[in-house]
Amino acid sequence: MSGPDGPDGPDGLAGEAEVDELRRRLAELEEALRALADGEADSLVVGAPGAERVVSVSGTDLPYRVMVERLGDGAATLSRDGTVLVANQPFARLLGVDATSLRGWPLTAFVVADHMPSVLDLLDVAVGDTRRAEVTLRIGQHTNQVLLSTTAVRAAQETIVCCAVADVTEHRRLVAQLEQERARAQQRDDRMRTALEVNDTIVQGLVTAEMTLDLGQQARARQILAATSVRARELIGELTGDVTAGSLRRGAPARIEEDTP
Amino acid sequence: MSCRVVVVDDAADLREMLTMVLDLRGGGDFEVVGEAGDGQQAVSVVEETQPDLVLMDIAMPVMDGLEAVPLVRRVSPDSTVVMLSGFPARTAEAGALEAGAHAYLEKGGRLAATLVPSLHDILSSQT
Repeated sequence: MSGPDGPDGPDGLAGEAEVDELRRRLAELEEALRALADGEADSLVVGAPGAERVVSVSGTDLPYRVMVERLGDGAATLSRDGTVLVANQPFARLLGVDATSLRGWPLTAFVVADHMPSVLDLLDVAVGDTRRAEVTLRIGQHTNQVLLSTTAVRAAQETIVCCAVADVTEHRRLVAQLEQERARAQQRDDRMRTALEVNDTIVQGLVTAEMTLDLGQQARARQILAATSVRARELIGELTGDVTAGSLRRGAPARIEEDTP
Repeated sequence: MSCRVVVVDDAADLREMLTMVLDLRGGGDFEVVGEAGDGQQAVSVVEETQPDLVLMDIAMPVMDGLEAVPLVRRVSPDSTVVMLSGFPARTAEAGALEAGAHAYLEKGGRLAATLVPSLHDILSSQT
């Protein structure tokens, strides 16, 4: 800042001093805010010299504010249209930005299109009511699955939406993994059941018939083979269900091996 | 003195054939002293008869062979347990031996001709 006499004139020197003073006071204020946020201080001295008064932020408010700032889950206050007013660091981290620069951004800018109606519904929460929804946030090239909870409070003349957010990406990944493992276990069980059916229906019959033949009882062996053949056909019908044209096309003709393995 | 055998299999025809093979091809070395159609029955029959040899199927109703083997070994510790199954050895033998069976034989492959020699081999390896 420079006056009519230029930066080196009397006004310029005064301007520089003023800027320095403002910088010093800004640094003091930032330090005071940091101390309040970190819980190192619980009151501020405000007002003109001679008329100072102490504004206390102690009591239940301070630990609450410190907790909100430090807890792992994200918390933010939003205007009714979803503009971020204040956000803690975990909230900002989930969106991939710094908490300070997040102020003024619309939350909807981070929401994938498919989940926009859910978020608009969350922002429309009534005072005293709570709404929750799982939504996908877009963070650069990645997405994060989060659980958003909102409630509305009246502050002065406007309604503020309080928003809590928890990252459930890992939880969802584990659930999906468990479902895959459950499906694989089910497939294994199904295969085992089929193997047991084949064993009971076909193998046992063939082995018995073979032994019966070896013991010279041809007529009985023939009966066992016939019964085994009927049971085998029934089993094949159960396994295949209704067949359709083309579903029974094989890669090569069926072969009956005549050599003993 | 003949080897006293309990035959365990849910297929009654197969139990009968196994008994016939041991009688007709065993040269008097085997005597079937009991039969069972599932693992639970097998434990009772084995406890009662205290056989030298148990021929045990794997896949059976009520209690399968793998569940029954440890119980059979407990009620008759001196019995030799041979699993006899339609499942190929590569998939079932390890589980059978782990359960406490002394040997594993696959059903099929001219069992009427091979059973007695196989059992002789197994029993002589146990002594």
